[in-house]
Amino acid sequence: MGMNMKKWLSAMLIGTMLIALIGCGNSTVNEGTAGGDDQQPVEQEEETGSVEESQQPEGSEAEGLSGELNIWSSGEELGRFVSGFNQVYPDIKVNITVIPNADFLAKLTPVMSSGQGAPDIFTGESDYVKYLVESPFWEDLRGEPYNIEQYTDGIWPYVVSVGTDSAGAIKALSWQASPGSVLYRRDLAQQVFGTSDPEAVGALLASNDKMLEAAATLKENGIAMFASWQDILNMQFSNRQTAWVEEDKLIIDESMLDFMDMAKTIYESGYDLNVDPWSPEWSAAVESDNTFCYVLPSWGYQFVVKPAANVTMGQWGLAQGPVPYVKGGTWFGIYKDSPQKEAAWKFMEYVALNAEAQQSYAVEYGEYVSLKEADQALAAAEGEEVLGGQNLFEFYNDQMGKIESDLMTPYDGQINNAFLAAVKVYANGTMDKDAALAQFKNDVATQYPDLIIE
Amino acid sequence: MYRENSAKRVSGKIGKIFPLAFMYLFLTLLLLICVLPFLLVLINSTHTSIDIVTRLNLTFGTALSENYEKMQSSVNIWQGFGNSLMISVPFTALTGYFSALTAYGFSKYRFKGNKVLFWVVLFSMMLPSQLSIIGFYQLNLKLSLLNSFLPFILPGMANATAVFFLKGMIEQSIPDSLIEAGRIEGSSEIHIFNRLILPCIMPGVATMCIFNFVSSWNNYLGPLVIMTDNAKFPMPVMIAMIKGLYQTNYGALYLAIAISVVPIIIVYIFLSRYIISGLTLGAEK
Repeated sequence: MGMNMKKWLSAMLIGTMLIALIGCGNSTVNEGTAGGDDQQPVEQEEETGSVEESQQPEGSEAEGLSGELNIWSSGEELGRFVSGFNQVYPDIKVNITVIPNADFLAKLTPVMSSGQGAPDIFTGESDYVKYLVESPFWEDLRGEPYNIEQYTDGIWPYVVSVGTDSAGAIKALSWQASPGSVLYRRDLAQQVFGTSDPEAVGALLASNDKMLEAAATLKENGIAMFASWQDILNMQFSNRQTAWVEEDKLIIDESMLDFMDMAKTIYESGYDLNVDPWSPEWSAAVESDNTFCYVLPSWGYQFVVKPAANVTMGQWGLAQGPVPYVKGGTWFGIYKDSPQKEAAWKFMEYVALNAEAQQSYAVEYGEYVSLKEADQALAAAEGEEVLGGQNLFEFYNDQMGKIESDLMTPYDGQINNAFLAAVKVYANGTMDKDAALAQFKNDVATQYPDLIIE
Repeated sequence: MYRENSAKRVSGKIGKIFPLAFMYLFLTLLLLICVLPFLLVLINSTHTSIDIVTRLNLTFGTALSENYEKMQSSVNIWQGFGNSLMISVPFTALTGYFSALTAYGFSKYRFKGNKVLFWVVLFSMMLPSQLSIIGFYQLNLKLSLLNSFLPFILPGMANATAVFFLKGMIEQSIPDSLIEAGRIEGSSEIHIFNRLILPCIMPGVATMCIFNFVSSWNNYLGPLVIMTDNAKFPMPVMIAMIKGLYQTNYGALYLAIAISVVPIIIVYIFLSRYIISGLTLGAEK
């Protein structure tokens, strides 16, 4: 009897624990992938609403132009605007918390669902900005007091289009735009192709086939064309006709399949350094004498080439590859339940809509900015020393003019990574093309069970 | 005869010297393998970012103060250091004491449900902490413990791994006669544990303390999700903050890591004495 009781007890305990475990697991999965859940937004609104009420007295909303703004940013760039902002609004204190990009959503998700300790402004990286834009976290900027629509003509259309959700609400803006380029070495181009002119080099790279031809020529001269073939993906994503997901269906564009073969050719022929982007060897290739180019957008110049170029100062050039492209960038918006929306909007206005502020920022950090007016003014100024006098704003303005809309989806970050992994295993011969594609589809299905995958 | 003897003695000496030399060589190599990464962190913390990514540095550089300023400009590392200590020290103390107490109860007291409850403890060991992070957040939200150190200190009282480890140790090395002796002397139960049992299993407790101190010191995801107040962030979160998005200040990063490694090394140095002296220690000699 006693023994039986014990057995029963332990069985029941284990049973309860299992149920508890399953319960836990479910709720975690739900909140983690919050993608298109119907119940969640409602729940959030209720919770955040009550929290806001309790916080309201603390906020100094009445004074309007004073207070303390809390900003979560995945990079340090927003912090560079603060001192300029404080000259105009000395009573608004800006606290910026830099949260590592990889963990940004992990930190944001629970705070958004509770509303407690939520920032007034937070950023969204290109990998997941569309997810945030489609979620009900950011304030719609079309209404009072923002009236964003009167300013949008001055911003590059691509930037606005990324910050606009499927219902047309404009929720996020950016201080930057990230048009693409092929950053190449003028001296090596002169040596191998007999010209260092951006137009002429661009003509040599006008299609994927031509790029491979150029790579073969460089290889004969002992030069690797690319630092890493993975960089080319930045550009290839703009070479697509369709986005990854349309009407909840995963679509693999024809150009993506072609790129798999291109990557394999580069890998097998040794046209790159066979390193991963952001590895030390990859960064060091800026100062090498055997690497021809990086396929990187404007931030690649700002963060990779410009700070490292000493010996190669003046030896860099910007050319267009097979297609004009944009890749990356950071957007930011106002939390919809922020008690200090007005002050937050003043900051946003200063960063994203003040041409003067953007211009001085661009001059200091070499970053391409989101306002047409600022970029056009800078295009008239002197060129960059690192680029042998070429004016990067002039170059990028031209590129931005060729890009209208975007192919971004809320799923991009994860799908891009899964695709990169598939191209890697195909390029290095671990898997054949079908197996790599099957793995890719499988990865996407695991991440987003709701998508239709054929 | 005499010659033969001395020859034998010499060859005997060589026979002894050779393995000894080999042993020293081997140990020196091992030492190098263990120390070199730390040394490289220290060395790299005195170089600029560009130097770090472009070449292997084996001598100390001159960029220490520059790195320090860069590091301090993004975050106040000493505040993080203090926060980490405020979390890790009480956490470790709680883990050591309460795990030993629980393990003692499980191994020496016969009561109904002993086995079942021990199973429950073991079962909680199998849940990865990442799984429960959102539930953990909700719990602390309801308890109003966000932005507090308590969520990272109090769970130290219930540490399944340490209980499991110490239970085995108590069963093996503490004879019932020791407890009986205490009772005969008229000591209370808690007194027996504090005065008799705990000192005997100190080596095991110290081992667990090392592991738990390190894991608490390195805890990153928990504080990142639970805390929103910059001034409360512990070291690992601060270090992650120093890493800019694209631009990585390797020099400042290495310096911060070098600073964060120091307490761990100190804890190892102090507690490892207990482990070594304690491995052979038994209560009943």
